[in-house]
Amino acid sequence: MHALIKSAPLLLIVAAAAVSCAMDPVHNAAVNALGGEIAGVPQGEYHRAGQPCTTCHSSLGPAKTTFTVAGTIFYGPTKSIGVDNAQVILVDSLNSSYIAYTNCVGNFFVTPEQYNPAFPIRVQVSQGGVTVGMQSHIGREPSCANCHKDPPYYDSQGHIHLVSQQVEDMNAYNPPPCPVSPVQTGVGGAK
Amino acid sequence: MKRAVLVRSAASVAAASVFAMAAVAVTGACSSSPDTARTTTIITPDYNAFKGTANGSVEAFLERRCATLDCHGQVGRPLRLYSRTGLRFADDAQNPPGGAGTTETELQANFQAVVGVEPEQTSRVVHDPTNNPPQTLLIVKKPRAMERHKGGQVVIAGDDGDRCLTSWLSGATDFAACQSASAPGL
Repeated sequence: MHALIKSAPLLLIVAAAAVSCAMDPVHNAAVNALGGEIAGVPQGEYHRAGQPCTTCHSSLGPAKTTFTVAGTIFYGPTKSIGVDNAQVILVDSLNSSYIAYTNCVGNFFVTPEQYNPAFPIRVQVSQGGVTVGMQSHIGREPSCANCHKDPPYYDSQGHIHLVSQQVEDMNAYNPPPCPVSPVQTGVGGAK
Repeated sequence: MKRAVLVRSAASVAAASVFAMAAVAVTGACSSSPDTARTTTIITPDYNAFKGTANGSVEAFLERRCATLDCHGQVGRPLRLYSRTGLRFADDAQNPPGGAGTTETELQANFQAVVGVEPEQTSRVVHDPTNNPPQTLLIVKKPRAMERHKGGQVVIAGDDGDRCLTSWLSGATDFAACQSASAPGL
């Protein structure tokens, strides 16, 4: 009994250390701020379009898969309709490149096995003869939506979009058949 | 017997604590009140050279290489940098990222941020760069990765970006190096 009491503080320290490793409060807050899954959209490649993917899909979890770069490409600036089969062309600081393709909700994701870029990287998006490139490079952020979040503000240009508002107004995008709706109501991660 | 020793020990600790608290209180009471009129003069590098011209500027290099939204274009950064393509100054202009060019307010804020990293040491460097070379400053050591830098190594000692910064801090800005280091690309 005496030995148990003597070792209790040590056990407490070990337990606290173990718990603190699994419960990074900042990371947990970021994950919680994303909210729950949308009804009718199961976990998988179509879920959480427009959200910062690597908040969960990183070594800290809770997702099982990790992404080196991931995001969502939308058609225009006002309506958040994901663009299918857009090329996302990534070029890193060592001039190594990779092309990812969006699915029907506009999501794309790159795993470390596919491409592990040496940041900074430059990005260009192309679909249907339209090509747009980022004006600046990405320093180290793997989730597009941590910077490209709605509404546009002093620290965000808004969600990524392929065409201008003028083009969006003139030519409405007709999304292809998709297991879930490619139209999102809000885009971006926690502030 | 053992318990008696413990009791005496606890009493000693309590007495020592009271003495220590009293000593701290006396020391605090003797402190002089802060001089609210006191100022520290900072010798700054050349602001006009920082702004530069179309033929190169320190500011343009910092915007291009450091000020993206995921690096120093964040409000929480000690070295907070505003830029046309990154973080915008929240004022009446209401410019979004990617909108109008960098404003005078943003340029001034960037200048103050750069000098404000180490204002006293910046003064020494600007006043006497021979005995206080620019590489004594974090603003040079960090991008060279001589100090831990979350963004990794951004310049190599002697390259265009490095020369842009160090020449400006030394009082003879190499605008050609700044222009080259600000060119699009990685």
